[in-house]
Amino acid sequence: MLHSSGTYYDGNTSRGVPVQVVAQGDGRVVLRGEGLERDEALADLRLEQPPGHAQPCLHWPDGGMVELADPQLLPLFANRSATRIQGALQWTERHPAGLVAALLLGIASLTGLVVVGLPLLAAGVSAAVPLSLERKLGTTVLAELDKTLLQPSQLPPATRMRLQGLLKKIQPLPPSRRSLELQLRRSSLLGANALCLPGGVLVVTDGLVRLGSDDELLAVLAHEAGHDHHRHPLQMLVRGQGLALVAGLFGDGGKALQGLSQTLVRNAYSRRFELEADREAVATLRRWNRPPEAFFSILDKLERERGATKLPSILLTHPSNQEREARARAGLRSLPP
Amino acid sequence: MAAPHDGHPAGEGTTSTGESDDPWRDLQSTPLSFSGRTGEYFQIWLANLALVVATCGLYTPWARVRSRQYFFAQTRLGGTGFEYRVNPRALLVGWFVIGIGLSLIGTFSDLLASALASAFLPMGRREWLAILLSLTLGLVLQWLILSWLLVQSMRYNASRTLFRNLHFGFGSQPEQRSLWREMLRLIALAVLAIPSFGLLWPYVAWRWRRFQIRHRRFGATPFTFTATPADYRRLHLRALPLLLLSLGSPAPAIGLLVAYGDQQAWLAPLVLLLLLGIMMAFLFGVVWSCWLEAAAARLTWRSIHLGPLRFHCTWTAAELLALRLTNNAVLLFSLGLAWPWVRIRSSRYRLERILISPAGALEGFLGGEREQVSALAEGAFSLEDSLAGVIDISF
Ligand SMILES: [Zn+2]
Repeated sequence: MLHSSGTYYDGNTSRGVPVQVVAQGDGRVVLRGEGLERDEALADLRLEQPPGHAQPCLHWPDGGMVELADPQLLPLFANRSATRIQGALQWTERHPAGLVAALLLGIASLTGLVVVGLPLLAAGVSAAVPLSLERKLGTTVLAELDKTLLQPSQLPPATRMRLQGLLKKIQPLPPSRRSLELQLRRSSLLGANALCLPGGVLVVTDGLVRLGSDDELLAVLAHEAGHDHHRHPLQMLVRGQGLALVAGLFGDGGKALQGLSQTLVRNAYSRRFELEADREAVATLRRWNRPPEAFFSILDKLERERGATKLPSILLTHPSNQEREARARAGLRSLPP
Repeated sequence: MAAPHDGHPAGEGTTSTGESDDPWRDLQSTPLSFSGRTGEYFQIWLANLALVVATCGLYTPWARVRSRQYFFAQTRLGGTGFEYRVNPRALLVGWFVIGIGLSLIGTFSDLLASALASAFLPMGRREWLAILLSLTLGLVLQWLILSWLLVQSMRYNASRTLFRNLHFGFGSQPEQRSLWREMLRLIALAVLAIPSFGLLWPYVAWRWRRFQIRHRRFGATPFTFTATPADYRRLHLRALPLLLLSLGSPAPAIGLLVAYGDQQAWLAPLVLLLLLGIMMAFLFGVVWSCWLEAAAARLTWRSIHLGPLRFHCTWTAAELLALRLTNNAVLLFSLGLAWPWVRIRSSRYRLERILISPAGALEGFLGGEREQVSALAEGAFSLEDSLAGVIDISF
């Protein structure tokens, strides 16, 4: 015979009555207090245990409730399915091992989401977006950039023709069957640079054109075409949205953490994309029987122009030149000669 | 033991006024206590977070309910905790239904606007009018839906809150429409308060507080609210100097910049002065909002009557300011990980400075009709939390 003491509230008044709850062997539960005697089947009673340290409550079918002062009766309810789910939750919320389990589960599912889930989702979504819509997006972005970062190009017509010729060299070749569009711009803020916008809109700055030889410019264009071939701009957009959603799951807590970790993850995605595009650059040079060194030399020239950074790579959107060169050479070795 | 109270508030003549009510020391009063522990809540928070991430957000209703249940159970009055009796599964269903409904409406009005726009592409005056009309329609639709959801959410949360096994309640089934109408008016008033440069704001704050309190009941006993619009006006008027100080802080720097900004030598020190002014404005703004929050809470609590029960709140602006500043600093330096500590500590401060008297009267309340309120609205948002975050009366 198990028995507990507690306070009985009948649900009709706020009056509390001190009671004894006795579980008898025959599956009945008897409740006794001042002017009070109730008898109920154990199976009809419901146990509720709020999270954290708080008294468990025993509910009668008619709405009466006992706030139990001790845990003596709890084993009687241990094998009910509702109690079992609550128990599992409480184990994770209370036990030290539960804390570790929750941490591991959280880290594992976050990592899975960020490393596998989001990229898969982004690949699926960007494959489903029709080229016309993507191109529209690209021109919208370009129009926005024209208002802020970019000015009209000042290159002489002959140079422009030369660049369009270079574009033709990468244009019709597989694997990139999408048509590319070359846009020349001047930019005091971006300096020597090239961008790939959604829908195969490539932007090359005057500074870069003045800096590079034909082979080097071919490599840069091929790098940007590689971004387009893998739909990197669109994928980045989708992954970014997904990341924002994942960060939203954390609620109000950890806003500072969210911003920082989102940037770090975004940078990691971007570095992976750069390496993927680099492979296309050296592969294109190989296809036209040009030395792959042209790509590495333009990378070095750009670094000299901007000044090398000492920041660790996790803070950067592009891998270091040493890493890019090493990875690109490794990629070349795996290509058919 | 006190005799049971009938469902009507006590006599009207007992309104207590004045900030330093000494009678409270003699009355047999009892404070709300808060027994939450940071370590315990940290683990609940972390387990919730892990499960929410692992289930791609499906666990969110459970997480929200469990964390609310924790805070309710740890909030104790006369040794008894509060209860939040909610089935998270019902919230999840509500989430989906309302989420899909709202996004359908959103898509529909977007489509309508873009169809109108493309149908009359070279924009004339009439076409602009058409787009304007459809946008207005969308806003009105949102106004209607959100205010209904807000009322339902308040009703649901109140009906699921219990103390000593008695339900709280908010409005009744037949009152639903009038509650909705009142909410529509409240939102419209709040929008109108913007062009009034805040002149309307004390009145809106008073209306909102009154709406929240006078429709609430514990068991069969209704809450009453005795504050007048004049009380709120006085409150905001007394806070006005701080607000003016905040708004005026950058003014000298701006004036000097306009006068001497074209002289190179003056530019750097003036910009520095401007930055200083902006910082001062921010600081005074925080002080202003803390002062207002504390004073409004004291006024509100002493204007609430529940049967024979009276309430007394002793929040002070200085303590709220210290609380807010340290909380933000700790949150920033812990990269947000100190969130559970911040929540526990804020709840403790806010709750333990509320006194209730006479303590003996807690026993004498009668239960009212129990209502079945749909979980739909509460599932959609915790609107009450976000909109009424200003006040902590949703016990
Ligand atoms: Zn790139």
